[in-house]
Amino acid sequence: MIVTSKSRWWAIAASLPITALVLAGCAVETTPEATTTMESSAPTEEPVTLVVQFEVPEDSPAARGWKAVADVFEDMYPNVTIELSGITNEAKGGPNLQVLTSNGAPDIGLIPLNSNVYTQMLRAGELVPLNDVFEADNFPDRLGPASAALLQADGNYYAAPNTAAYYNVVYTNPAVLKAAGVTIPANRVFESPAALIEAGKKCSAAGFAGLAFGGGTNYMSGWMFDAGLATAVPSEDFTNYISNWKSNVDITADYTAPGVEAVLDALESYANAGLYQSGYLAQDGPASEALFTTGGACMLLSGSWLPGGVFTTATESGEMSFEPSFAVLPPVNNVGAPSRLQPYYGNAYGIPMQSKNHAWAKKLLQYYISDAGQLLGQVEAAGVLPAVTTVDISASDSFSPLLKEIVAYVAEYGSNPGWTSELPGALGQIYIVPLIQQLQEGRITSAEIGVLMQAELVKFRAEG
Amino acid sequence: MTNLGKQKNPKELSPSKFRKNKVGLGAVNRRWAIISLVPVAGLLFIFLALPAMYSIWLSFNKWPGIGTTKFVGTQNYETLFEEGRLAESIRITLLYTFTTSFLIVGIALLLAFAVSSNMKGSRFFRVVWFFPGVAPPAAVAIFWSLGFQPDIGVVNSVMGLFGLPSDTQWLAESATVMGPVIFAGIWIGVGFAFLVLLGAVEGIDVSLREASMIDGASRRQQLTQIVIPLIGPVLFTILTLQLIWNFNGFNLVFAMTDGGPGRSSEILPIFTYIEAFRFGRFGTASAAAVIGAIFLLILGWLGIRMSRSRQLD
Repeated sequence: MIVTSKSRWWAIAASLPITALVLAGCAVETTPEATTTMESSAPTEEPVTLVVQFEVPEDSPAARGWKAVADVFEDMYPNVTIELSGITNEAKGGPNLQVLTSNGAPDIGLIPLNSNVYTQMLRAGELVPLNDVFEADNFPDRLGPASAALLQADGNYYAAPNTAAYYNVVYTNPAVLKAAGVTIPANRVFESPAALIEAGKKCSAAGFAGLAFGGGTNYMSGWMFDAGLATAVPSEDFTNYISNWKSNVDITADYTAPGVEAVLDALESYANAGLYQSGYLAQDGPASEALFTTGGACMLLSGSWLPGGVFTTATESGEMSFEPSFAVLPPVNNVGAPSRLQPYYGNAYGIPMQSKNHAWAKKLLQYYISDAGQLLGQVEAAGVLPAVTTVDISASDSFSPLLKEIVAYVAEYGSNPGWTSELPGALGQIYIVPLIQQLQEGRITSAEIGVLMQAELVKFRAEG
Repeated sequence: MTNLGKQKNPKELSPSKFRKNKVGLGAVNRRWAIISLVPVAGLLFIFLALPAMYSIWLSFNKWPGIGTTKFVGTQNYETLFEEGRLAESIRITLLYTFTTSFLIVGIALLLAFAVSSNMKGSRFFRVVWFFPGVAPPAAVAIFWSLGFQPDIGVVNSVMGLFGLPSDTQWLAESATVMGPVIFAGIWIGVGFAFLVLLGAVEGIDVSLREASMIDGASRRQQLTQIVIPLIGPVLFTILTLQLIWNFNGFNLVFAMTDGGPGRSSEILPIFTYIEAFRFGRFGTASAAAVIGAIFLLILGWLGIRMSRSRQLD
């Protein structure tokens, strides 16, 4: 086939824009330096669209909270439009790093504080300092002790938590427990691992699963390690365990210590005694929640977000026909602190350096973490606890009595910091959960995990 | 259409004049072919060669996902082989890949042979057996994850009906987890292989099979001595494709097991994903990806070689 020279040139000309488009698509991304100039500019009156990330599903407490805040903010500033962009639990701690550092970054990103995303963005200077946002309404004081961990070595804040959550809450089904002959202690804390196992056995005998939990997730087994660790080692050791991943903190507590081994032994004994539901190592959080809400389990391991979330929707749909109560996991031994719930402030929000509207993003974030924003978004719309301590939640109609009980319990007894919520995920829960799963199957010993953990700690510190 | 601008139509040129002008039909075609290939070659270079080269380069570096890279030589490869996790992951990957692929091709061949033999309801089965192949892997993963649940799953229920153990925690035990995964992989993969092999089987001259029947050949003999030898190239091609696809079978396995429990179903793509996105070790992830690519290249080379030799036969 022969083509005229004219049509040949047309063909070549036509191929050029396509090639150019491809090359443009692969062009080098804008450098952080190039966009930092936007940071200092004040919000303008020009129309602006802010993209905000939230964790799916679409009806999650986070989504409801952001929608409520966005509506009010758009009324306050008519030139602002807020678009909510959902990401999954899996994405927020990993692949979202590439989104947040691309030139298509959202204006406000969801950045779990114990994730690799936060660690790497801090190291690479990819987060906008939020000192002015924090200082505007005295956020650190309103946040309380949790603010200390947010302050970085360079004197800047880079991420703002929006909610406080307590995890390792053992929700109970009182009617089922009664039928199984299980009594929860008055202080709500199971006396020992043996007492919890005994309760589980009674439940099994009565035809119910003992403790439902998402053993197949890459975090829940780590929670149980959290719950035990604070109780199994001296408090100064525990403080070192949750901070010695930093290269400027000396290692004074070793993971091969008897206390750590005792915690892991307890987790192994739970599995061997059949405390959990059948097939728990292949089930996620929602599957275990469904088992509990439909009355198939005596107890459920989860967090304080359930009363305003799954429990509400399950009750409204008629799936859940009982009023749950709660208990606390047992201490492993009495060397450390008493057994308590663990607080988590980890689902924080930050402004990626690559985003386009730093000034407006800061304004929105400031409103979001203000007392008014926290009351509207977290308390009233989402039904979850605010991050700040200055919002009076006692009179709120949005909270279920159960959540108020949990808050009152923490106010009376306090809480223990969680190992997995303090450590970067790559060293903490991401590393230990598969090992605990192997332990629960009898494929590794507690002592071996201790050795592996210690080696991983040394490696993590060496790699900086 | 032929038009060389101001030149005469080639048909009107004598061979000597044509040579003299040095503008032959082939020369123009070649030049035009080369020019036409430039955009495609450019796209292939940008989207295939560059990422591959970048991945190889990254495997010799330390990179957490953003920021600058740090050259570490062969350290990533050494780490992978020292820790033993990669070796275990490759073992699981090969188990999954070979078992799934061979069973897919075997089952698909039997189905194609049955349908092409005008078995009862063959028109119906021709469509039905292809259906699983169009389902999204994530949906299949959810479907079979529920199917293999110990208490509510259909598999244990059916096994119970036949007096078999009905309390197996299929996906929750490292000893059994690969069973459901391989089963689901076969379930979703048979349809495509069936369709391709059916086309090949039906392409065999009917008279050959009829003659063999007259000669008293059983169905088994027809399959092993006529059908399989004649569709050999297609068989090897589809087997090679299945091996490559299953080696890279991330979606289904990840959605069903997340690599667990305790890494017991962590095939190489999941290993790579976890290294990169959960641990932020893109260097070691790239090294694992390069090792996987070498495996695939060998597989592909063997597949093509065997397919060609069958064609020559």
